[in-house]
Amino acid sequence: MLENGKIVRIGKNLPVSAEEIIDGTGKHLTAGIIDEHTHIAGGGNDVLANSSMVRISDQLNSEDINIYRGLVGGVTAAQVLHGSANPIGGQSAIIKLRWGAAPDQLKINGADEFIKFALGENVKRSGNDASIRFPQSRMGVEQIYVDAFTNAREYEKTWKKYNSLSAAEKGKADKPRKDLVHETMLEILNKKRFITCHSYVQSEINMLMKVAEDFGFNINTFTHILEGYKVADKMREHGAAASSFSDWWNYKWEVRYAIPYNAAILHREGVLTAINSDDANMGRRLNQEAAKSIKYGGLSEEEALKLVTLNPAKMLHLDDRMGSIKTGKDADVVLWTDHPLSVYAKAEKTIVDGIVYFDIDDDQQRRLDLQKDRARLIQKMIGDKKAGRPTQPAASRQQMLIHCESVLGEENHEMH
Amino acid sequence: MISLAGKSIYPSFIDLHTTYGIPKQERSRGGSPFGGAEQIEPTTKGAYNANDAIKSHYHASTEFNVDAKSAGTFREAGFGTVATFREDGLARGTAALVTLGENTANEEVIIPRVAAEYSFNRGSTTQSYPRSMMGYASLLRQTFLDAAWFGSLKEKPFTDQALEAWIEQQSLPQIFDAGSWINVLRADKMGDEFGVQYILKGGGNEYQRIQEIRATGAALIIPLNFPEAYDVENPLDAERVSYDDMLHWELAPANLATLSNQGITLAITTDGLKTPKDMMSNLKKAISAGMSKEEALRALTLTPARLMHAEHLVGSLKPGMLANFIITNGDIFAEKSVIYENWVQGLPYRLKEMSESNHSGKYALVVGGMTYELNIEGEPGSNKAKIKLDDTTSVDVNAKWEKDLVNYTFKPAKGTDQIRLSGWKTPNGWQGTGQIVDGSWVNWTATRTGDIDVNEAKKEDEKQAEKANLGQVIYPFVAYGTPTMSKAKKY
Repeated sequence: MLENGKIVRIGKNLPVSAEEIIDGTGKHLTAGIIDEHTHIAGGGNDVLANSSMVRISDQLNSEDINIYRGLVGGVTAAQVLHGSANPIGGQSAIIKLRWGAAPDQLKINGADEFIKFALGENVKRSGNDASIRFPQSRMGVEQIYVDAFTNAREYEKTWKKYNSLSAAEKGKADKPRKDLVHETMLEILNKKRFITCHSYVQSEINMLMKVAEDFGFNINTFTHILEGYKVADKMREHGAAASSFSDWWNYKWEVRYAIPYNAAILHREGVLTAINSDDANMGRRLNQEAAKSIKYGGLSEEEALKLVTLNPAKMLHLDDRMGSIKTGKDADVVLWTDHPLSVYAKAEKTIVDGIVYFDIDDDQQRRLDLQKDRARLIQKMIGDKKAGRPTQPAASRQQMLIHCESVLGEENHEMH
Repeated sequence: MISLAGKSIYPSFIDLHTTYGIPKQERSRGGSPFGGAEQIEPTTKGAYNANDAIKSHYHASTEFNVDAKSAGTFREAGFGTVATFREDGLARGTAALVTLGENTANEEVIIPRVAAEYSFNRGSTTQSYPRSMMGYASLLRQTFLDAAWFGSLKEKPFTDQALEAWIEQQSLPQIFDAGSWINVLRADKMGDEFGVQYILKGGGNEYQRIQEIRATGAALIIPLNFPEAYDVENPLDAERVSYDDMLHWELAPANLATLSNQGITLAITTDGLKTPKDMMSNLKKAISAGMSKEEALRALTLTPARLMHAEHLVGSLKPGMLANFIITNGDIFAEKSVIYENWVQGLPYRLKEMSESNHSGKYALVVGGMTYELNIEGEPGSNKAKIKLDDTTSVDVNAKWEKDLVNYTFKPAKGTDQIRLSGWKTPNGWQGTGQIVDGSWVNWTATRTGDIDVNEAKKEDEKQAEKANLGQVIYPFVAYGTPTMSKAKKY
């Protein structure tokens, strides 16, 4: 039973006081899928090696059709991430797929704050021979982190010193400069912001965990983490989670050691493990991606489903509110036509906060309505042309799909 | 003394978003910072900001020059005053308020620093950062903080003339060139963070999120850049056009009506039009889509003047103000409105002959015993005459009107020679003398019998039908959006 956006009761033959009863006979109900790593609805990339001051929430785009497509695939929440061209990327935005809501209403209120880090080839700009930006080597990447955290501690000291002055002394002294880069790094050090780090190669994964430990905090999540199976024990000891691809591999040199057993091995080693999309299209079938870990590694069905529900919820510190069907949790649920890990399964209804945002029958109706209204508009435009009014050529306005490898050459080309 | 009987006078219009008289800005040729060498440091010469996108030290008044040609196109559209600025950078420096006469810059610039300008467009800088919307927001946010800090320092550790200018400009009206509803919301939110209420320049699609737009409480500068219809006769071509582009084409003319119905303070800009001359025809579309004429006039005169704190100079007709006004043939928003003269700071710029009489009407033309139906159509100064032969055919009349004299030449039937008439004005038409086809001299008269038939009533019906048949705003404004959001139910 769902009420006021929450799951209020679970059971059979509950007293009927509902406004509407959804007949799920012969169907499957799961918690909504949570995508730990996506770039839909306003992802992007800025340039500086330390871009910790930029915020995805400054460019959330409520008008992205991929929100709807996500719902079609049973996704109810996602972390929208900065790209991976920077050792320290931007602040992420954790959203629910509230199709139709204004940009500011997408973010999940009270969710913990996260930031994207990245390791590997992208951050050294390996694909760009002309690049002069520091760092150009994996050693330099480490130095970026050490510098940034060291500077943040110095910055903190300067402010502490100033804040400890008496009012009279403050009147005489100059205030320190407020720096949004240092502020963000300090949030990480003070455990008010958590890192999800794009990563592939074991040496760098070890490096970053060590840097974090030296500065007294933990890496929350390694994302992609395709060599995670090599360092799973160390990750468990560190307390890092893993958010991986099911079976993407060899799309560039540094991922040649990726294996589809990665997620299962990490999970068995006791690492909190999830499967993410990174990609708007894969984001529509995360249930199938999760199912691959049954084939590769023999996870149980329940374990596999958790890879895209409860586990990412835990990674995002939202498992008290979502990730499973439990009384008191958010009414973010999906009704599937078949077993959700089957390739035949389609989401029939995707419900977020107790609101049906996707309904497979309603979707069919929308398609018909769209076709009709397009036909109406086309006739009207032809009328305009016949009346001699100026026209413009029919041009497509293709939307660029952004994922981790995307680095935008120009400003983000936004639709609105 | 000039008699303006039957004419109307309006304060001339004001456009707050122009680059009139400012040298054209080269767009960045920087290309992708990911494809070439990154540029980490700024290249601006002198002691300015660490980021080249912060150009608060620029003042339009230092570079402004009178551009007679451009001023002419603005005047033709009824404008007398514009705010002009350089479209370059996230912080663009100040705009100047200038009148559209052709005197020296010294005389035309009436407020040299009238507003501070900002945008989410980095402009000509080749510096790598920032490159994204979030980067723009972050740099502006950091600049706000830096300005507050720098301003508070007793001893400045370095010189930054851009930051100094930013600080100085905070007392001016703050205009943010947002360019779309979503950026209007973003810019307003940024302003809220730092206690600034921007005047926001929109993109013409604000109707797509009207509730949120209204909640900003901001005054908006709105363009009339309605898209042209797509050429969709070919069904495969039509597939290339997205549903939201089609729907926006249909709904864009109603944007201003939607905004003004919400009581939002509005100024209108010609920005985005091919030429300011297209402004009036589009504004009339906005009026027929529901914006009141009073609101349209206010958005072109009093409101922009007030937003620039220049209501003591321009924007209305009161003693002591600049003599900036236009003379029209009546209601400026009527279908066939004409601007005769545009006066700028007391100097007249003549656009159309005021004494031009309108000959339009139906006349009975009697030439030597034969009667013809003479129809004169069109606007004063460009009237066209025709002889109606029967219900479907007519012949053109070569007509020349010169004050009270007239010349008509026409063929009374296909394949014949010309009848040539010369005459003078009478209270109800003309009369005179002329030669018919066979060369004999005759007397003639033309007597006005009525107005040219216009299917106004039918047009009105069509308009109503069109209105009733408009598509609905959907949320989000893309395919698969819905007019009303579904609500949480008890399931």
